[in-house]
Amino acid sequence: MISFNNICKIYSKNKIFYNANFSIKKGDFVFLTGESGSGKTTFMRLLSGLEKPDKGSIIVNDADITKFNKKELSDYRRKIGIIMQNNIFIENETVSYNISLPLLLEGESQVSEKIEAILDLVNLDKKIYNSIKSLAAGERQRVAIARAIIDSPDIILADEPTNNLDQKLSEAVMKMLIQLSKYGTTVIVTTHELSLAKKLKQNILSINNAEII
Amino acid sequence: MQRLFKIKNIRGIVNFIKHNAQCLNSSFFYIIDNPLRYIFFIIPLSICFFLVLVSYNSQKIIENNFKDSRERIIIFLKNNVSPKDINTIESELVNKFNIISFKYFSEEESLELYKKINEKNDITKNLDYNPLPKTIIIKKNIKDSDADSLSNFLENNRFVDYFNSNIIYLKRIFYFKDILLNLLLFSIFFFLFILIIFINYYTKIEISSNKNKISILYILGARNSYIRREYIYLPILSGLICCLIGFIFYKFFYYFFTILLNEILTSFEISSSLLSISFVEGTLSSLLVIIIFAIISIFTINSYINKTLDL
Repeated sequence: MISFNNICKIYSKNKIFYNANFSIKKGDFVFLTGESGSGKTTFMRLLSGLEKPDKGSIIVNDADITKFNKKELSDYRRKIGIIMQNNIFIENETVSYNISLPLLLEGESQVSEKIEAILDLVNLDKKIYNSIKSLAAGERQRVAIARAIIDSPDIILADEPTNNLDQKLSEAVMKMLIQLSKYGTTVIVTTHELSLAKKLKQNILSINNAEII
Repeated sequence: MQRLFKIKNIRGIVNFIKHNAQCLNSSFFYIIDNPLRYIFFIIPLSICFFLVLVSYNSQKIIENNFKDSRERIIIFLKNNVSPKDINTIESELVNKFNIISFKYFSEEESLELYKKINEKNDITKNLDYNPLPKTIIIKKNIKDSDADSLSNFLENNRFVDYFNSNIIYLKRIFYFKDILLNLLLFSIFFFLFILIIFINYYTKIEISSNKNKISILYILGARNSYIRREYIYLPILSGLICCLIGFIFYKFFYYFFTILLNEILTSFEISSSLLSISFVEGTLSSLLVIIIFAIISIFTINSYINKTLDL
């Protein structure tokens, strides 16, 4: 279970969240919508432990992540899959290496089998040894998705994952994330495409006036 | 559950060793592949390490050869000095000055002593008379500050014909030792100064060129120690190379220096032992250098990683 309890986050007098509350259950799929600058990315950064709120608690699986120390935060982040709005990669390395990073951090075995399977899932099996530099924007986005889901995380946080994808691919990616939630993974996706969220008939939360509704 | 924890722990240790080996391996080949990049870092530090070794070793040689040195004053007495006068001189010297030993030699004993010391070059054997007067040899601590008053006392003493002290020679040696100590301290500070500048410079370059990788690893949940490990072996290996080069320079220098110095000392018939730096001293100093490299690197890498991640 994930819950925000009276979260406040203020950037130089700009209230992003003020006593914001929300909770979702394990295995839920949630769209988070809001205007540009409303705080969708801040929400993701708070939930991934990259930032701390000014006030309030964030409970993930019965633990308050705002009270985590550095080591606990690292362990926590290894259990979640993050897809950032501006995904960054090790540009001079291959697709395979970039995707394998979460597995290398965990010291997993059977890395190559998992990479092949995941690339097959995101339709990039032919680009396994290509350099990241050589990929188109849509392909890079799919590599980011593959990297986020390769280690079967408990939670997936996707910040505008369909940003550089066409309509068809956007739907395919969303369906894949919905599918993952059916296997028990909690998925939170921020998007400004309300139409796509409505079309997929999933729970929709929105950030409005520093509150999550 | 306990078994699962144990397995997880063992896997963690294996991963730790594996990652360390990977980082060490990649750092080693990075230096091998880019030797020119590190030459400006390694050479000045090797020279500094060489200077530290040389000044330390020279200090050690002086310390070993002169650690029990005492001022030795040879006093030649006038011919008309009686045994009673000698007793008076002895009592005055012992009472007024910090004398460690007082030895009186008659003319015959002086000659015997002279022959014993100058076995190879005994010029008295060509003489049909004894040229040596009654002699007193006294020894005193170098550190005692009554050298001037003793000198005045001997100059004004009516029984003393002439006296000679080795204090100037000893003072020069100890002055040279002080210069070497300053050189040693200067070399150490210069070494640390260069080290901090170079480690800062190279770490900054390495970390800024791997900014993306560091950010990704951090987001994916890598601990700081994991991220740092990728950069720590490079300065440690550089430190090891610096020590090796510095030590080789020193060995060459010591070899030629001892040949030269032995020639000089033999020609002056001075016996001395020229100690070199032992294996244990060499290993310990190298270890110390590597530890210093590691500590400075950890601080620098941490600060640049934190800056990169904007923590």
